[in-house]
Amino acid sequence: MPAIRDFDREAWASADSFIQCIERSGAECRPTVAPYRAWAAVRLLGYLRDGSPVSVLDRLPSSVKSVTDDEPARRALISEIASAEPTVHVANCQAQGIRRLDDQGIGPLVEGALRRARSLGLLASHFGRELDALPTIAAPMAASRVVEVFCGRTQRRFYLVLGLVEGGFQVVSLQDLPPDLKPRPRPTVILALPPPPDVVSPYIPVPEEQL
Amino acid sequence: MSPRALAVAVALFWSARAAAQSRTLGQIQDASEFADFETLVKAQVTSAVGDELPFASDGETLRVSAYVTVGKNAVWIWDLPVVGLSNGNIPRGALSGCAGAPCLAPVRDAAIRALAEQEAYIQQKGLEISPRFLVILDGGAPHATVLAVLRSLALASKGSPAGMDVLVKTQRGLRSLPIHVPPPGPIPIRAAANPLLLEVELAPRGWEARASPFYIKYPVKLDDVDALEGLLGDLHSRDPGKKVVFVSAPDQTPARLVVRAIELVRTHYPVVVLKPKGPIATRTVYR
Repeated sequence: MPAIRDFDREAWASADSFIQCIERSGAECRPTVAPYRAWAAVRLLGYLRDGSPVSVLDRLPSSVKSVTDDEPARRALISEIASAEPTVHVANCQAQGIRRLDDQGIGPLVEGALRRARSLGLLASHFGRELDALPTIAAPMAASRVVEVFCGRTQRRFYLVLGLVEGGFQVVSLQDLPPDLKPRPRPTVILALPPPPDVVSPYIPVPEEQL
Repeated sequence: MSPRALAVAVALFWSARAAAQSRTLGQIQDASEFADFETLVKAQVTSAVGDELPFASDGETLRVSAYVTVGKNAVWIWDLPVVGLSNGNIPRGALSGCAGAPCLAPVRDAAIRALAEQEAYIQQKGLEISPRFLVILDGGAPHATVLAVLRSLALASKGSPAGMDVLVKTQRGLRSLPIHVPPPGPIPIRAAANPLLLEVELAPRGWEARASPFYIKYPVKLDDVDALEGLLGDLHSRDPGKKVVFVSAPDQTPARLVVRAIELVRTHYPVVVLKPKGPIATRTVYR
């Protein structure tokens, strides 16, 4: 009977060695092989499901590039580590908790994102093939774990996202806020649009002599 | 030319051609020409109004905007339905008072979010434009419903309403016609002003035109397009500085007829204000 893998334990161990490494060596610690493209796909699926159509469209070319190439997500991780470096360097950082990226896995995210892409007409666009492939590309993140880290010396808290590849769990992102796959709340701020000067009314934006 | 020079020339030609091709592909992908704003709008038209999109002979180029759809069964903000309609009509009790004007609160609230999203996009892109709404209409949508939606959109920002355009299909593709709605209260006009206050109202047969007595003493009934265009031309030549026309219609008038009227009047009067049937409310101010 095959042994049952303990993903939490494996991810915790990976996160632990990553933490020890970045405390010493910073961005040098980014893994060479990690499910970077899968993480980029998960992020793109999130944009697709929750973003405004115009911003989705705007991000699409670069996001699609990220899911076909490890490099953009790897560079993003390097930059995340580099900005965290001052507060994690020899800061007595320790893993404090572990959980799945989302209790329901990535299924609902994939479903919502593809439904949205269809309703926006994007599956029939030039990007259709790449968008269709997103569930497959994102699959390595299905077992992903989030490890909460606290650095005692600097009182800094951050979150590591780990994805599963053949060699085990690898860190793909370092986040300041707890990452999850829940729908993002939409903005509720009422925009202020000052009326042009000397107009009949903000509703009829012409000078009175044109009325 | 020696064989070696020829080989070098051929190699240079092919490498230059390959470089040119890859540059072109890169430019096309960066500009995302294969999925642009019109792709989104077309998808929304197809799913929400189909062939019922009003027709116009021409219009303005589409601007990237938050799009709002008034269909037969619902009002959508972006691609999300926010209010149900019954054959284009607003269900009883759905209209509420927003800042003293009747509006559809769920439409206003969703429009607030859409404008904020659009503003975030504009800021992120560093564009020097204001967010706008593009209104996609089912040609059969009743005028009263369209007005309620427009008023709700107008109340989605502070200070002044965001710009609004109505989507039309033309022989050259999708275009838009800018429109406005009147303020919730009377329009303030100085005592010394001499406004035209031109109004074109859709009548069962043709149109009825009204204006300040200085310009038109009595309402004029116009049976055909030529008569309307003649009157508008006359008024315009008397005072080419006037830019505003009010377009009104009975509540159940289908949007396609209102759009047709907008198209006819905007040649001479580009600032088109849509309003319900009834007098234009004004108040005299002294300043």
